[in-house]
Amino acid sequence: MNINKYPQIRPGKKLFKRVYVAIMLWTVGKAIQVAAKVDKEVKEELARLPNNFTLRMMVAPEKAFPLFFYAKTLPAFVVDKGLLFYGIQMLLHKDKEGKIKYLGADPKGKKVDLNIVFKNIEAAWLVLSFQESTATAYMHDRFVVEGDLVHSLTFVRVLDIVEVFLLPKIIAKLAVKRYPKWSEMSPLRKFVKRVVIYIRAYTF
Amino acid sequence: MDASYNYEFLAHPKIISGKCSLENIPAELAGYDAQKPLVIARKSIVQQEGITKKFVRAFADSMVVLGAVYDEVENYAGISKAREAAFLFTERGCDSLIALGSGAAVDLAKAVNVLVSEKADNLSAFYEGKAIDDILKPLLFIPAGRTNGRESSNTMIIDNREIKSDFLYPEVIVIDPRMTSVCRSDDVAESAAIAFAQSFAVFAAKKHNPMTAAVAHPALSYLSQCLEQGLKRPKNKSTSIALTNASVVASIAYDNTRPGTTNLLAEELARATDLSVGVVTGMLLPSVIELMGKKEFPVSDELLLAIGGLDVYAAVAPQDRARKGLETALKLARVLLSFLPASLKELNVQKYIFNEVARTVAQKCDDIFSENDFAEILEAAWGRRREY
Repeated sequence: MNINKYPQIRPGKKLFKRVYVAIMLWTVGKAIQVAAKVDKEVKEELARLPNNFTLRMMVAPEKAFPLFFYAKTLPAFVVDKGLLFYGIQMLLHKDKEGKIKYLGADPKGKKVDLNIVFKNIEAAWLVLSFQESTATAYMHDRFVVEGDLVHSLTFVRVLDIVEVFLLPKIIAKLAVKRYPKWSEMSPLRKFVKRVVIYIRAYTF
Repeated sequence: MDASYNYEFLAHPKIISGKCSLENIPAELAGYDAQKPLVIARKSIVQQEGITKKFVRAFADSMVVLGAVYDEVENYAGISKAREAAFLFTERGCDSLIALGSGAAVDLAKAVNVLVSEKADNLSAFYEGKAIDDILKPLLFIPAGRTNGRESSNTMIIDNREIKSDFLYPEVIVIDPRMTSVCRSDDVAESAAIAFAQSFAVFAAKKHNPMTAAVAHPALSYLSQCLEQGLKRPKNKSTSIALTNASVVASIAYDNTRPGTTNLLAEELARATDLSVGVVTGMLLPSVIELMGKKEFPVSDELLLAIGGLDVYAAVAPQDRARKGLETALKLARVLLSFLPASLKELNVQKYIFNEVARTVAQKCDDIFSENDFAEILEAAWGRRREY
């Protein structure tokens, strides 16, 4: 039998989806950091998390998604301030004083308390391109949670609020479990916070 | 004690169904510490445009490498092909199997699994009763195209000889709309006929098993909701995934129940005439249901609940539910007939074989049906006129 008739197949990479997911995780991470400073509701939610707490959001398998090729060439201040995306992970840290900080995409040397793992890049794409809300995606088994489930629910609530701030209503409706009514979040607050979060997330 | 608490039930495979299910395969394989599967695919499925590309694309951005795609199988699984694929499996250093398609492809994958796991050169010892006594390599099954109702079960047929073992169940069944929507109408009709007969057998069984009824229930519900649409539009993703789900769960339920009248009769007649089991099953089903109604054979009330739904079930008096259940089942079976040949006569089946077939089935079947009943069913299916 000629086995060369049946070649071995190495499936390729989904580059566009990788970059998209990386940008989204970077944006969401930075936006949560800013929202924790400017929005009372987010601040209250995050206060429920213990101090010195690290959260990671990533796509499995970890080995298939190393840091981007330029990650090692980035200056330290770019990595520290999270000025550029460089991997398909998002690390958030709540320090001893209760401040939230975006830690970039490199988990090396960091103790992770809560790990939210998308089972594959397609699952991350469905959630981060707002085709499925976080709640629906969890129901469809798109991701697994390693750590305290209560803390992950806090994070999901924060994520929902931040998505409402960042996205126009037509898209945010797809991404969150329930879009807040006017009485719950005034359009003025939403618009002002949206501008503030975008400016602060992308400038300093 | 209630008799319904006395039962046995085994459902081994994990079922993953829905959008982007294929992408979950690497994670499932990782759970078995496997990352190099050999894919055994049905030729007609692989030849369809874009299917292989979609399938391979689902493994992108994972650590999985596909050992090879062996697509030399169509309708018949034989030991020579199994040996070839087993050789390929060993040469490439594979550690798991994926069966893409249905019928012979799955049988072949199971045979390869036995050969490589038991380090055997042939299956003769297993034909003669040797038990498969160890856990085999992980086998994943992706349904696509026409099914024969045995893929999700603990059975394999190689060279027309059957081997049964609980180790032969696939570990994971992945039902993805990209793979299920490759059927034609006749494929859908045949697969649905088998699924219908299997789940009907569960509700018509003498001894009620609550677990098999619970599993067969969604199969009949999916069939009653999606059959008509699925036959008209076989490429529709939502109906094709519902009907494939029906096939898979009906097969699991049927595996835990006694062989049904329609299935036994269809298999025997198909063997005698060389017709497809799916076609024969679809043609015999209305005759079986009609006879059961005429002779008032007992059938579970839950048949009406599964096919008609809760509103219809609640609107019918308890003593009439069995009869009404058979009526709704007959309606559903007639939907199938519109996509199959109207009668056995149309297929040039000779009447003289009926007595022999009826006698053989009566010997195998411990049901309330007699040899005369079987002959009557065959006669009715032979002389039926197309009216639907």
